[in-house]
Amino acid sequence: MGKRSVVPFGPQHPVLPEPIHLDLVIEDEKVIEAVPNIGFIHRGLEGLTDKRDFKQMTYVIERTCGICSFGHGLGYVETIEKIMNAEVPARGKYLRTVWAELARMHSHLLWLGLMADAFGFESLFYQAWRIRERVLDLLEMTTGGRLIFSVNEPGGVLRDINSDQEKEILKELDIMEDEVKDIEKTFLQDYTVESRLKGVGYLSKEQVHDLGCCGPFARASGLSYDMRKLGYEAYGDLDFEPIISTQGDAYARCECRVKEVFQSIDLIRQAFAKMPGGDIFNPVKGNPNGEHFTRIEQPRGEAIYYVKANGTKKLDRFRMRTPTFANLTGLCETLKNCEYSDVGILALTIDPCISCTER
Amino acid sequence: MAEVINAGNVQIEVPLDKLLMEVMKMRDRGLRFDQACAAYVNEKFELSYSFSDDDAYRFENIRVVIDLDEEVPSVSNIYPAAVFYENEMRELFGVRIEMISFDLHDKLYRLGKDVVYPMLPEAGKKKMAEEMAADKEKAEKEEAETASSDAKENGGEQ
Repeated sequence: MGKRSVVPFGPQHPVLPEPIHLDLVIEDEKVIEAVPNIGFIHRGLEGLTDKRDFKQMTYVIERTCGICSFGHGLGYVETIEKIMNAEVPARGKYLRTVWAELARMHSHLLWLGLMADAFGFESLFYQAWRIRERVLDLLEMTTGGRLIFSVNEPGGVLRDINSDQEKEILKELDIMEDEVKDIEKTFLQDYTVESRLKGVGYLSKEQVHDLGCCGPFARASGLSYDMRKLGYEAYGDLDFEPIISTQGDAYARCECRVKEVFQSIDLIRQAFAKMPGGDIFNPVKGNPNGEHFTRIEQPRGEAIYYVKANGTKKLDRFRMRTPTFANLTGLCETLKNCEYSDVGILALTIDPCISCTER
Repeated sequence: MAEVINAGNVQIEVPLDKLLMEVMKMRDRGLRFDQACAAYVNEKFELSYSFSDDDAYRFENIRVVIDLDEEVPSVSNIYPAAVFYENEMRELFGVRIEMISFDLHDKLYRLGKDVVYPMLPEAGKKKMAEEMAADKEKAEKEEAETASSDAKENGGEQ
């Protein structure tokens, strides 16, 4: 048995977009155990319910994170709508679906770029982020914001997408589809990428189930678990199946995310083809009274929103369970017995979003 | 059109002493651990443990309502995925969760030295302190009574 030592990893590290610290127990070059340590950016946003009313909380929650912003707003307003039995106009639901999928595209492209950078393929990193800029431009054109859109309100959405914007989005999607196909070849067929990712950080389907993992991280191990199948917003009208892989390694997690970009393009096209006309917003009246758990599929996986309201403007409790929080146990497991040089890659494969995790 | 899964949300309320048994039932049924959280409502803690089904997406929630000073057994030995949720409940609310399998000792989030249970309102902290003081007093009284009855028994024997 070699000598054991503890090597700190993070919170500042070239592969980490956000601060997480890992204490790695190392024996020779092998990681025996990893102890995560978070709390560098805890802001206590859930606690603001006693200072802000339930409508103002929408803006607070959207600002939890720059990447998952739209999904957080969506999950929260949907919970309030469920409690208040508010009916969202059909067009509003379709618009939310389009923006949710655009947000998924930019999140996955961001991750693909970071991953490329982590395994030392810098030109691929630039290509992924170049395509992501196109998505951000579309979001800016339709919502006025590139990362935080502030279009969700209990009762619907505050902005519409007109026919010119729809044409522009569909045209851009065609271009982006070709461009993503180009980088897909490199991500999934290049032998240097394959040799860097295949067989690294394997988790079985049973393990991801037992550890409560979710999102592409779990689907890459064969767990067909995608909250969009619940049919919230317009997903019930769209034709899709969760993208899964059975290999359970870092390559499979990469593969799932690349394919989900194509799936998002397809879902946006379907949504525009079926989008009805009419109103986009149906204002809610009164205050919420009751409680509800809502689950939605964020780019990183299942997010759970819990609201307990008492009939006043201020909520008793708002709780947000983010996908990265759920995947932390999976991260610890995947790091066990890995090579020290793989830690950076594996920490990225859960697509860590620490701003969301710490709230 | 793809099949939409109509997953109902189910909630059951159980007493604290039945918590572990109910959680074990969830595990035996093959449900995954989804989340756990606390809420401070009506001067009590409401703890929610949520589970879901991988195939039917059914969401089931176990609700336990406890006094602020009650000790809660950890479910992390049944569901290892619960460790971070339980550490969070204890650090942010002060829920007295015992025997967490991976105990971070209130250091999950790097709260300031002066920040104690930030999600528990001042009134809750006051009530918790009162309940803890009453518990301590009761325990001391019981200890004193036990000691005095032991002394009487020993005196009688001599």
